[in-house]
Amino acid sequence: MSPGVGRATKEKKRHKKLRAALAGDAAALDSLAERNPSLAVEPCIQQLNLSPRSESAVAMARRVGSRLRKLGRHSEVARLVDAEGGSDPKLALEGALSAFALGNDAEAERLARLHPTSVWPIVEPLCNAASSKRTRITRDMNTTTRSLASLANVVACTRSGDQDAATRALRETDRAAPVSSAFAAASALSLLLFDASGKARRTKLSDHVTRLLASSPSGAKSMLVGTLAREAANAPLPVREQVGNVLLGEVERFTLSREARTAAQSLLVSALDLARESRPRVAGALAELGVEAFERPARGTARLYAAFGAIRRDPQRALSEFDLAVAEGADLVEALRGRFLTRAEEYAKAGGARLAGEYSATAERLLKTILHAANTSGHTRRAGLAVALDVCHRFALQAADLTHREQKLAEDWISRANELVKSSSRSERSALALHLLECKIHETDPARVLRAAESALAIDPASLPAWQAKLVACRRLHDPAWDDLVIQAWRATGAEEFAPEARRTLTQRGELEPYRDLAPNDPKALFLELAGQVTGLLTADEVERVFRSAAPHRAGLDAVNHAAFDAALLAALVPGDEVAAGRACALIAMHPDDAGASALRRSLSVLISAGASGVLERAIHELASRSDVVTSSLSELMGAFAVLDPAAARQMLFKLAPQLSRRVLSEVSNALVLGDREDWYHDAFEALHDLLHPEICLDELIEEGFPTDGIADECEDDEIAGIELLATLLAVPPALVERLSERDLDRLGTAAVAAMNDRTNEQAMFRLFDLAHGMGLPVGKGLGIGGFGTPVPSMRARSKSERNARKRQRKGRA
Amino acid sequence: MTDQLPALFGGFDEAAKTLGLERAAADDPVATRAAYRKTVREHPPDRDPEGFRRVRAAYELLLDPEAALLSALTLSHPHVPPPESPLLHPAPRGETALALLRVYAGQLDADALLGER
Repeated sequence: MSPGVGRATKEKKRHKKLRAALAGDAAALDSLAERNPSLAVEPCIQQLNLSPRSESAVAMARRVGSRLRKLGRHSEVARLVDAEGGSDPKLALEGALSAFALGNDAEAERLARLHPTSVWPIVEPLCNAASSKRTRITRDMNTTTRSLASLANVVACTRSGDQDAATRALRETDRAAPVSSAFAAASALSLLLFDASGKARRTKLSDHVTRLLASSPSGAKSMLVGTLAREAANAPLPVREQVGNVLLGEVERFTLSREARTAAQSLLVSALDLARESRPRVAGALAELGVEAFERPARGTARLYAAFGAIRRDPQRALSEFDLAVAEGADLVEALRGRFLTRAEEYAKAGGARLAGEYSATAERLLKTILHAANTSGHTRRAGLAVALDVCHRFALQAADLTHREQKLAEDWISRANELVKSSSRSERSALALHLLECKIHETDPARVLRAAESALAIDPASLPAWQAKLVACRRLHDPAWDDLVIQAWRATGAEEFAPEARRTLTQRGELEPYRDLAPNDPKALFLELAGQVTGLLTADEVERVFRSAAPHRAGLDAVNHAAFDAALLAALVPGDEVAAGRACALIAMHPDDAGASALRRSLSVLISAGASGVLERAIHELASRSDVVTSSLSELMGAFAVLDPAAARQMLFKLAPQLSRRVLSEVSNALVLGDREDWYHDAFEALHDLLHPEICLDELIEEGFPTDGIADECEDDEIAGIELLATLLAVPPALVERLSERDLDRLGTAAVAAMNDRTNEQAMFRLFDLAHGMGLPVGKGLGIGGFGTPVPSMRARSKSERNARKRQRKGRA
Repeated sequence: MTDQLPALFGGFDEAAKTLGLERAAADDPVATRAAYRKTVREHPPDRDPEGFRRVRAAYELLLDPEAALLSALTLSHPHVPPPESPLLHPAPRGETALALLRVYAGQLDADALLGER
């Protein structure tokens, strides 16, 4: 038999039974009352209306009424009681309890008062509780009625806010019964919600809510959540937020109705205090909570906020939410702007022609909508231009990886932006920005870059990025006038980055004296000027010459900058010629300034960080061989050497001993112990680092993350693995890596990536390049560190396409 | 086409109003400057610092609208004000306990209440 046939047969049987019951068949009525009390109501009323009324009809009405009340069908109970007229005490009690359950307290009282001695004493505590009145419990009440009255008193005391009385009333109930537990929880919750002083006890809110819902009938849980949410709506904001969160958790736990969830959400949203909260926080909260709690038309705006909040965490959801928001009446331009930002986010993350096409199409729709939204202001054209510029900017960010289709789209947007620039007034700045973006987008085509850069310079002759683009393009085009262009760029912009190159050219041409017009007390400028005085690697003798030529200007630096200059000089010299670097180190040590040992230590910390023990060894030999040796300086050098190689330092001291006086030997011996014992070089390096305030942010590089293949794969603890890995790569003590990782993660990341890229050949050069880079020196432009005049493979100078290619290679290996 | 400006331009509309400019005139730097000079006299910084700040901010916005529009375009939250909180009809104190009592009343055994008297 099919289910359809089964249902039809059952239906037929039920109708047959109903007809029989209506015809006065007692057995049929009895069966209906048992199986389907709602169907038994009509025959029962028919029986009650018969005259004379039979006792069995009233008994049947009582039975049906009781079943209907427990099923929650209170309106049908009321029909039965009306038909009977309330003369029967038990049916009247059924009616009164049913009316009370329905919230009709007046009807409950009316029915109960029909039987003042039997029914009213039972219903009275309930009616009193609804009007916050306590009921006196008397001895003549039976156990069940007394228990009911006690619970009603708990409710009455709770409603009147009398906490002590509520606690006393709770003691009179049967505390072991689950229902008492639910009442205790409900009472405690009500009192906590409005207890301004009970901050500590609010931690119990969650427990009470859980107890209330766990002890109450399953059919009533959703309703109780809704009521509690409405009751908590009067509480202070933090309490509201707490209760709302707990309720939302319970709704999930008991899988309660949608209404219960909406009530909890409404409470949480009301706790947000939208008027006072910041808009980003409202967006984030609504993205998390959902917008079911809002009615139209507010729901459209709420969904708009939720969609904005979801842009980063779930772009696909954000896109559909924006569509729904528009359908629900949200601001169209804002919704399109949100879609535009979402598509931009997607494109920035993954790139590729498909996403570029979607992004471009969304941008086009936004642009058209903005241009048609209002035409009474020039701002609409400017807003359109802003859209076009933003799209060009996104394409420029992907410039090195643009596919043919993306390149085409980018060109379309450039021409669209150009049209908008022409039709807008006061748009010079946008025109300049557009030309610079053009330079970036066409970075693989130097001729186009040159054209765009010249257009930009026509608008702003002092534009630094335009000059930068022009110089790069000219270099790639092998422009013979490149040196002149650098000088022009320097004169037009006054930019520090062009100064060394321009000054060097001018000095070589005899148009500028070395060190003339150099910024006073600027170690970086002095260092770069000094770098410009030489070509190729320095020999030890040249070091002395160069060092002496700079000496007057070096002396002009204050003590702190003096140390910075020395440190930078050493960092630059180390990878070149060990003898030359040792000579420089000795020269620095020969001229201790006012800051004395601490300044020298800063310089030496660079050598320690670079692991340059050979340089230190040379410097000590150099210094010890001089007649005018400064004892404290020799001690510092020996201390630094001892940090890197204690055994070699002791051996060296043993060899030098015949040359040194007893006093000097004693002091230098002490330095060996100090070198072993103290981490002074960490402090010195950090002080140097703090002093120079690294200006260059290397966040692009850090995006790539630390290289994790190799050593780190074998380590279980990621953090330790990272430190060990870096320490191994950089050949520095792990403690130093740990300290630096807390202070300047960017710099460490750069150093690690640099060392990973070419760890066999020029590791030391990379490391030192990075040290100097970290100190804020604009190296890596063919100026220093790898040996003067030797181009340094700068991490920053590497194009995005190269970085992405490396990323892909790493992924491929994985 | 509508005369209603999108929320994206709300700031410009407000700024133009602050300087007492017509919307179209707000695009003209000469008119903007003249309006600023006139308005700022009514809000001298020593007597009405708050008003002066408002006028100054409006002037700067209208003077460099491109930068303002670019940042308005990429703002990570809506320009429209947040919606009103949903209406949650507050219930009086103890309403949950009373609701529980009503549920309990619906489940009571009438025979037990009447029978043991």
